[in-house]
Amino acid sequence: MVQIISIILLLILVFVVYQNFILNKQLKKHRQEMHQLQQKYAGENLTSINTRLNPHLFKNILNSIQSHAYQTYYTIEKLSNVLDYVLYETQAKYVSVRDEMDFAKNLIEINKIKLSPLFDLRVKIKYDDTNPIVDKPLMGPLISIDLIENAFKHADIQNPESFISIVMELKGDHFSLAVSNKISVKPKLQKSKSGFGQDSLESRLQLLYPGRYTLEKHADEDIYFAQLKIDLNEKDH
Amino acid sequence: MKKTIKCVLIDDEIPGLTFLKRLCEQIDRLEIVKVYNQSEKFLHDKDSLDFDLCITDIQMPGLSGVELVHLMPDIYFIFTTAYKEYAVEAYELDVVDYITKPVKMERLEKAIEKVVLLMDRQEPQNVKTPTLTVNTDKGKMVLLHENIKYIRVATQDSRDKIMHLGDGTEILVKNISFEKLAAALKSPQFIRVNKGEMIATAIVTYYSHDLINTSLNIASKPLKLTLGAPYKNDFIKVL
Repeated sequence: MVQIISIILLLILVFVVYQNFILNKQLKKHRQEMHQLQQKYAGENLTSINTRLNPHLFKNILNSIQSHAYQTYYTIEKLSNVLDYVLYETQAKYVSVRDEMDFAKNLIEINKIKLSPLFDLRVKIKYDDTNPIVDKPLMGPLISIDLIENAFKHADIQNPESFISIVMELKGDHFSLAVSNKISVKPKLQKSKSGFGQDSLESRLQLLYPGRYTLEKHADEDIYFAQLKIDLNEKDH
Repeated sequence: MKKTIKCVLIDDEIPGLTFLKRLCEQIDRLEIVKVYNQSEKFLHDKDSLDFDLCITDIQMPGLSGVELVHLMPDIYFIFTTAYKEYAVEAYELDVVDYITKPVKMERLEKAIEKVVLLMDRQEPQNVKTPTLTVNTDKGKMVLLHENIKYIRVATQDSRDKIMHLGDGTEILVKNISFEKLAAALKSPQFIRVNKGEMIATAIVTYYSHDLINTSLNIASKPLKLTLGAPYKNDFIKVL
């Protein structure tokens, strides 16, 4: 009888130990699962942070790059036109008014790359296409370069109040170019040589249009104004 | 030559603005009046600017493009934006077009064409001659403002008025007050001269402090009117 009881007790003991072993194993398994889940959750959190990074930001940058690329493409084309003109057309003593005006347009376009779009640049280049003078070789090549370049050189392009105004016109046989701009207050660069500047413009005009041109320049406080007028009709004189 | 479209460009980002400006400069019919990178600055200046069209970004710090549309109902708007999601809202508003960035030249030109069409359609409306619909003793009648010369109280019933047209016809208009007439026939084209009479200012030839001479003939005699003291100031202001 005692033997039977002890066997039963032994059996119960074995059963309990086994049960314990099973439970332990399950617990371990659950812990592992729990750990895996926690890791997975942390991972999910990370990806949600990733998606919170606004993809529009990159789209914006892409748009900016596109803007710059277009500017570059556009300006290269205009610069190429300017170079062609300078290399191949300006050898002649006279060019057509149309060519010189187109050159001035391109020159202004390439200078725009230095300007903010907010800068107040007013350009008016006008000629009547039916005017026979337009295609006659009557203009000294690069006559317009000095005044236009000067405006871009001396204008205070960082100042929001600043401006450049360029008006180029052919009326009948009268050509006029008026440039005005707000002068930068910063000290001028000291230059030992005045170079290919206003003096050479005067002397060229003197040679090309003796007695048929006026070149007016004056500065009104911080506003600089220059106007060139040429009578292209030789016969009048 | 075709009429140019005066436009203002707004974008808070300089590269976007530079690009837009470059494109617009290549469209002959567009004249860029001014360019802004802050919508508030534009709002501040808008009354001193002469423009028909505004090409603007939607998402901007401060005032958004949508708010600008609400503030300026008379201006044509074209939206440009990097966000496609705004399209629906834009169409609910009365904007001419909606262009997603990056803006393409052909797309911009198309949008400008739409503005051109709208502007051309609007023009004849502006010169449309104003009319006034009245109840006469013979039924409803539509009168051109320019044909109405002189209105006086009817002798039988003071609620009715008699209108004289330039060609000598008289119309009896039923039950209408001078206040109602003044709301439809506005100064300075029309002016009340005394308690019972209202005239088109165009018929006045000369006047003194209390008497008005007109070019309108009634019964082949030029019409003369007394100028009522309470109406004198307004009358002199208009003439």
